[in-house]
Amino acid sequence: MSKVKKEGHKGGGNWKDFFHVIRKMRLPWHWIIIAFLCNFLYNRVMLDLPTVTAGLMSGSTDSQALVDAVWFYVLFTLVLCGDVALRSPARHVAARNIRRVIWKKMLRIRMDYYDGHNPSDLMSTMTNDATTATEYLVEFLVGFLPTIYYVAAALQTISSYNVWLMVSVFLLLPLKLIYAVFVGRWQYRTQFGVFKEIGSLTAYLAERVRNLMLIKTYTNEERELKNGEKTSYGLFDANMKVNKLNCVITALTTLLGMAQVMVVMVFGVLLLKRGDIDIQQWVAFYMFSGTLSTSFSNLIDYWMKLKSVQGAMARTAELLRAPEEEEQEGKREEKGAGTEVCFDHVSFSYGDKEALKDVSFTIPEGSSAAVIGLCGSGKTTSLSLLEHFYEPQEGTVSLGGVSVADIPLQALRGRMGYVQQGADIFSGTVREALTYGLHREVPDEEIWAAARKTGFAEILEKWDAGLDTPVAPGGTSMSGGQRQKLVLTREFMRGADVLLFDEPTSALDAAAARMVQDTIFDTFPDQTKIIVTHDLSLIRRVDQIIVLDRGVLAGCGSYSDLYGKCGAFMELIAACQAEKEAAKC
Amino acid sequence: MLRQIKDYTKIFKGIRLPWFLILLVLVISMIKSHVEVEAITITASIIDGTQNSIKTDELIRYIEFQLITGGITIAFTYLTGLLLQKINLAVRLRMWNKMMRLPTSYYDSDNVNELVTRVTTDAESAGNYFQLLIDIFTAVYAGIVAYQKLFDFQFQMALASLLVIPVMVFITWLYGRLTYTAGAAARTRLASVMGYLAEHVRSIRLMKSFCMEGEEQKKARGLFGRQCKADILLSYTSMIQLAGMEVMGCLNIVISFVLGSRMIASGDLTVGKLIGFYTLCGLAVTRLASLCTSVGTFSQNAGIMKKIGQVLDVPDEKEEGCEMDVADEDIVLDHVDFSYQSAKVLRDLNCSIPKGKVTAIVGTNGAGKTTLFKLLERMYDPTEGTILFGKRDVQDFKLSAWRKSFAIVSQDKPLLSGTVRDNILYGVERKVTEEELIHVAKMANVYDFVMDTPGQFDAQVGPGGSNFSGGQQQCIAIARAMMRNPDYLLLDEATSNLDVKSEKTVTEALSNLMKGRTTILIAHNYSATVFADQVIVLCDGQIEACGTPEELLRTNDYYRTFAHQAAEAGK
Repeated sequence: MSKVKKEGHKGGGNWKDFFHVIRKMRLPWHWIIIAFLCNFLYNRVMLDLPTVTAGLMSGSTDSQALVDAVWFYVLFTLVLCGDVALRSPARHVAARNIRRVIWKKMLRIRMDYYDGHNPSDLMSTMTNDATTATEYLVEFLVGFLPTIYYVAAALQTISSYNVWLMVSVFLLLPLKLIYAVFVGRWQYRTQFGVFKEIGSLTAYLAERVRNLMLIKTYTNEERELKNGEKTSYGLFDANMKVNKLNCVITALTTLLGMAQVMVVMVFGVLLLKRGDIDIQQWVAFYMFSGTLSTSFSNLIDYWMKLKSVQGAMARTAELLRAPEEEEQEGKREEKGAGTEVCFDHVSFSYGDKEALKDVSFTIPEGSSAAVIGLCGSGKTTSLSLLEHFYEPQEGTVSLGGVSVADIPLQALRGRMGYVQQGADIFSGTVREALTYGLHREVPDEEIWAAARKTGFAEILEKWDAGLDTPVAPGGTSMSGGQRQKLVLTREFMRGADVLLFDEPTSALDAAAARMVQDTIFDTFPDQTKIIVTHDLSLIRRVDQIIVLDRGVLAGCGSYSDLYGKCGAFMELIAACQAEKEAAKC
Repeated sequence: MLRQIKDYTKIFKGIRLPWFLILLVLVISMIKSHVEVEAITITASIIDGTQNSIKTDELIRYIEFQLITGGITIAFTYLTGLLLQKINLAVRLRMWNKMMRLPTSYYDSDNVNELVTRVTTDAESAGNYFQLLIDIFTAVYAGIVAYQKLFDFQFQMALASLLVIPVMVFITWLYGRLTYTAGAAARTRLASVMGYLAEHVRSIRLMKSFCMEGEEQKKARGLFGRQCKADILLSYTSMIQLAGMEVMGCLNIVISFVLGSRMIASGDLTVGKLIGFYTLCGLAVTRLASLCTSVGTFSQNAGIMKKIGQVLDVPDEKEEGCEMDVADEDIVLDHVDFSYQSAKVLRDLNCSIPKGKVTAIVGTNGAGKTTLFKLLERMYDPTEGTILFGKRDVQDFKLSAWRKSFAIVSQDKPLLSGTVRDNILYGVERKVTEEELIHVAKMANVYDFVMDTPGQFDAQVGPGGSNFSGGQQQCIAIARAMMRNPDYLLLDEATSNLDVKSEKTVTEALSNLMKGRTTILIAHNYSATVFADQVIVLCDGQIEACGTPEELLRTNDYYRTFAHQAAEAGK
């Protein structure tokens, strides 16, 4: 994993990654080709623009020239609109496609990848970077060649007026190149630095606002006021840096523009005086020199953007190369396989950090087991191994006598129910939350029947909208106990054979915890249940207790087997000594 | 629009505006409009001249003019930037000042994230808004100057060119309307995509567990597709603006050249002047178009100004009253009611919290325990009834003095990014010696793990304290409370969400903290209530029972079940 990270930090990126991503990202080629043709046409029409305008400007006043000019402008408008209109679908469709590709990939990456890469960070940087990069790329594909065509053709037209005019165009070219490359880079770097500064200052202010309650409790308003002032002045300075930068750039651009005009004037007027060109050609040349410098800087811009695309693509390529969960052919679910869970000498580590060491235990079909231990003792990891989110380095994890690695993922996870501490619920309606993951249309009667079974119906009846009651993101519109009941109802409908609970009661108050506990045992009497918990009141109700201590199996057996015999178990019990003594009095 | 301007000026009341700078910017923008027009006149005369011979003096004048224009442009860029930033700063400081003085109830009604935007992005928009006013002024002035010059050039042609104005107003209006609608649609789509992703990206494991990859992919596919369509539609609206500008360009040509060619034929106009007229016409139209855009943006952004104004209108927390230079007293709740929005949260609370003793509050989720704490801290005021300190109404005391005698340690232990030292010393106004810091750190069980961390007391806690484990964060929060040395201590389920071992460490630290202080604690486990001198059972916003733990074990059902569960767990 650390190796992957290092490669990621290298930045830059190479062309191999670049083409790898391009192959995968499904660019909308038909849109790109249409936009390319449009852009080409636009550049073609642009070529005639100076000549036509110059015809008007040079004082030819016959009405035919005027009518021609007006027609030409109408054509120009149409082509311009077409170019803008058709370039935009190419860009947005490409962005849409890359978003789809990335999201699809993110849903299929193996879970261990996310241990080293925060999915939220991945998501935001990836979607923003990747979509901007894609848009740049499309711009490049659509605009680069037509612009080159325009430059070449314009130079040819100018040289047809007079060769010296063309030479004058190149006179300022080196200066412009230096300006575009160096100033562009310098500008980018300075702005990047300043934006980073602005970002961190803004983050500071945001954090304070989020914790205003704390500030009030600690009556620290005066000092925070001063801090906020200091930060605001910092923001002011940073913004002024950008402002000064803009001034320098304006100055440079003005100077360059002036030099341009001077060259055109001096050369043009000299040639005009000698009679080598006429006034119409001079005006056309004057206009060409303007559009040409725009085209030159566009070309440089295209190239520099392409370079930045390369960097972003390297990171995208890394993501797209991340290992996926494999769905091998030939895996076949054995019909009627049992639900006995067996860990056979399993060792597992996250990178260098050992999580489980040579752990073996068996949970018989239909029984319940509690996994207990301190934080970081590998409890949750063992659940993840059972769901085959990770591959153990040694040993095998099996379900019903078959190694989980040999069961198709869909079938394996379809047989397992999973309830966690925070009760994960997506926003939507209660109906959607209850039928999540059922992969079929469910009649309301079935939902109500299940809800009655778990006692969720009592809660549901209180809500006016019933099953259509909206659920806030993360289920925050419900209390912890209600959320857990909802999730248990969902599991009941899914009809899983094996139920995994990851601290189902730890976020609840005593009464709610009790209620959820009862629901678990009443609703799922015959299923194999594995409960990771800190809640010692749960452990007396299970058939078997598995004690983990820093990744090592410290004990396994019933409450009476372990009581007084297993050191780690007694330590955990002792930590609750106060509770116990209190209960006696 | 007038009302919007009024809304707007309200925000700037109490802010010292940089009037001199504003004046300077206005003057420069006026000079700029003149120079621009003048430059065109010179070009016209150069073009006329070159047909015969080059006049070096005109070329030199042209160069001079270009240099002046450049200089003015740079000055203008710098000064408008400076003005914008100064106003941003002033508005931001004003907002920040207000935030510190807002009553706490305001944070609940307004979404906190919204408040964050008020100080960050909205403050920025306020400056932009001011800039818009200047832009409007500049556009009007420059437009007038340009048209004046047009009339100077050629009266009839200038009159004809006024025909462009209604066309332009219509196009700008249409463009404004369409962009507004399409922009709103695109933003809604973007928001729904971001919302979906933010929610789902955190639950990848859940989706995998439920084998929902296919379905979720399809759902995201649809969302991305709709976003793409909205974006495309939005970009089409810019086509209208482009087409509109080109149409106006065409009209310009027709007016300038159709009329112009006649005038040239009759000798009333020179070619140079015709070209000058044409260029100037373009400039005038651009100015007017920017005026229309500015006016459009002005009303669209009015919403933001209104929001800032609303925050500024909220009355400040009261800060008068006397100091807390009296001995500790019992805190008495006398018929206290509290409603939050329209829901009654607390009903007719009557009890006394004895000084120097430990009072425990138990009750179900949502019974109003945390709200009661907020009333005690005077974050809210009771809707009815009074809270007494001994015999005096707590309202008589200065708010800051009152809060200074309290410290709270809660379940969500908020740490602020910064070093461990910053966090422990948070809100302490006096100078603290290293020995005192170490002493407090030891008492709070912070010392050992901090010493093991690289950087020790200067180690960064990370955003929200994330560089430390839950138990460690809680211990730092306890040290912070201890450093404050309060007379009254509020503990809000300070040990929940911790594993048994860290719970032990935290409990130890807490008992050090509680020594010699009046403590009120919200308990989620029975053991915490056993040592209390008084237990209050809160149920549905009402006090169900109040007494010593022994009494309540005999008389109160809820308390008995509470104890019973713990007994069962411990056996």
